[in-house]
Amino acid sequence: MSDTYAEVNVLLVEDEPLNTMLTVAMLNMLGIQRVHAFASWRQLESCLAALPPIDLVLLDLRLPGSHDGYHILAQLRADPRFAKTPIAAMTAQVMPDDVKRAEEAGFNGFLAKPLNFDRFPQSIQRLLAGEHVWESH
Amino acid sequence: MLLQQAGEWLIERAGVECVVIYLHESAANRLSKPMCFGAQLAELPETIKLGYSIYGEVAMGRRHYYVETVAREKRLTPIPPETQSAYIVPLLHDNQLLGVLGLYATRPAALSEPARAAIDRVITLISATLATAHRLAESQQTIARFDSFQRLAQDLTARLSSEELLQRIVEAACEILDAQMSILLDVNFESGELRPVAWAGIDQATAQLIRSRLKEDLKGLVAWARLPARTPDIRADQRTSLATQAIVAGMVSELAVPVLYYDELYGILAVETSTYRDFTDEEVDLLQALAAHAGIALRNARLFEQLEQRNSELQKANAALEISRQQAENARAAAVQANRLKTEFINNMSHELRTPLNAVINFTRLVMDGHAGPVTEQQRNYLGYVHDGGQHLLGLINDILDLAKIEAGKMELRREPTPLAPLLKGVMSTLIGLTKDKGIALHREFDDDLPMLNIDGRRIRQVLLNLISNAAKFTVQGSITLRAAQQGEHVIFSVRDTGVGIKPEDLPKVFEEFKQIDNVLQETASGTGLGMPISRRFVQLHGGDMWIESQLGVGTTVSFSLPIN
Repeated sequence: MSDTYAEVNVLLVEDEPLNTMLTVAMLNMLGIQRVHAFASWRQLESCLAALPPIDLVLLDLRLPGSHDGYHILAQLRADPRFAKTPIAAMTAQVMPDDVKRAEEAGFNGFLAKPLNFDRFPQSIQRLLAGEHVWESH
Repeated sequence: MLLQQAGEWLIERAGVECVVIYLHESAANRLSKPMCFGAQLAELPETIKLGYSIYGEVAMGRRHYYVETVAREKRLTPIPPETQSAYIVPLLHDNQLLGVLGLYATRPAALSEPARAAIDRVITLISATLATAHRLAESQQTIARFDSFQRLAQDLTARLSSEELLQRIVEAACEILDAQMSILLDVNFESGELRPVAWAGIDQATAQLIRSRLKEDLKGLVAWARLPARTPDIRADQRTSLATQAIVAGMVSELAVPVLYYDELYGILAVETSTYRDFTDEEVDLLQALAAHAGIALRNARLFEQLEQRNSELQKANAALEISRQQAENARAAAVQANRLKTEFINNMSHELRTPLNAVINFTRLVMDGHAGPVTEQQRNYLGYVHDGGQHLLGLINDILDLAKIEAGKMELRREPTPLAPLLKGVMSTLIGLTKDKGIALHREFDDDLPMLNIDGRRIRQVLLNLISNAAKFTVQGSITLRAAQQGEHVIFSVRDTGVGIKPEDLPKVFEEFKQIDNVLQETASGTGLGMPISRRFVQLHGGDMWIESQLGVGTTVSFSLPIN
């Protein structure tokens, strides 16, 4: 694949291992090799300081415990390093209320699950280019 | 006072020893209230009927009667001792009998012819004075009655309760008619009974004894005939001698009138007197005037009763209504709750199915597309089936979700000005492969200059894809035609096929959710049964409508309209 994204760092928070594997594989298709995957905020929090500069964050919204995707978004946005980083929701919660809430919370993108295999590469490219990407089902 | 002066004057000037005066009671047609001046006569009868005894004869005949020698007139009793002659004179004025005056003398000279002539002149004067006094008394009585009526009128206009009003009316009846008692009975037509409701001059125990039945005694007859009736002598009257008439001790005369309100009888009003009384027409009129007020009061009381009854019925009905309102409210709350649970369930189901489908669909594509190493042709075919199965499941979930959103009123359209021709061409190019595979022609019948519509293009595309793939499903040979044309304020779209058609009785089921129609192709039609209902809902959300026409064995046309603006 192309080397355009060889240096790109993606942060992924996803509690379902199969979905983590899938997302990593689909990102790999694009040539993105550096995917930092965590299953929860607690895991991520302890490693946050050690992470390299992140180009894109993909957050599952429904996570176990009280630290869901919205919580993580708020935590990350409070960190100067993530103030302008594209952060997209990647979720199976696709009711109009959910979509609206994500928009209001300040996400830069919304990728409904199941991910659209054909459109996924383009969506990631656009997110990395700083565009607003809204792929509700 | 006047008569005493007259009597004393006669004794003094005419030289007679005794003067007797009886007054005429025109109502009773008798003489009564005897007065005696000079020598006292102990056994004067209290009343004398007209025509009886000397006094009665004089009264009746209105002629002077001179008895020169009382010893020869045996009927003249009692007389003072040593009376020689007597002169009995009618008191007349304007041809009206006022009374009878008798003079008794021991000396015959006292009643000689010239003396009698002088006495006659004096008596004419007395009569005239007496008549004037009578008229004065009558006018005073009239004034008194008028006053009583005025007071009553004030009571009637005051906001008294019906009970108080009726009480005032019976009291006024006593007052105005100078009666010792009065009673108001109301009538019950079902039982025919008359029962006391207000009375004056008697106590409650006595009043309760006074009952009547329609037609049965004086009061009952008054009620039945709706005419006044009077009797000067209750005990002598046949109408009142019946068993039902309770006679109150000491009462002599009675006047009873019906209590009416327009033509409706409410009861009777009666007055009774302890002295002999022949009620005059004027008095009948007076009591009827009072009875008319009683009629109004009784009618109001009855209306009030009916109102109260209706009120309580209304309250009962209100209570029943409140119960059913609460039941409806409970049912509504239960429905809201059920709906909320359904929405929650659908959301959860959607989430829980999407997560594994994400893996199924996309891992399959990863392998199919060779991202996990080389794949054989057959492996790719098989993986294609897995992928399509996953996509079908996803379509089902999306349909259910759309329906839930529409039902919850949360389906939001993303309207934007959309050129129609490119949208229709896009739909056709998406489906051309499908129809070609089935050997069906796909025709277009629309111009490039169709108007621009402010619609959610994604949803309308979804509708058209659904209609055409449905048509393809039920068409074995022939063609499918996509048509669109402006018609007034709308653009009408239609998808016409040459398929198997639908039985008329099945047509209404087309837009019902989860309904699939048996088809003559004898093959199980794939699909969720949600496509048509959802398509119609989308069109309706846009302000249009959808309808279907079909002929069995000839084909089906599904059309829908979208408003321009």
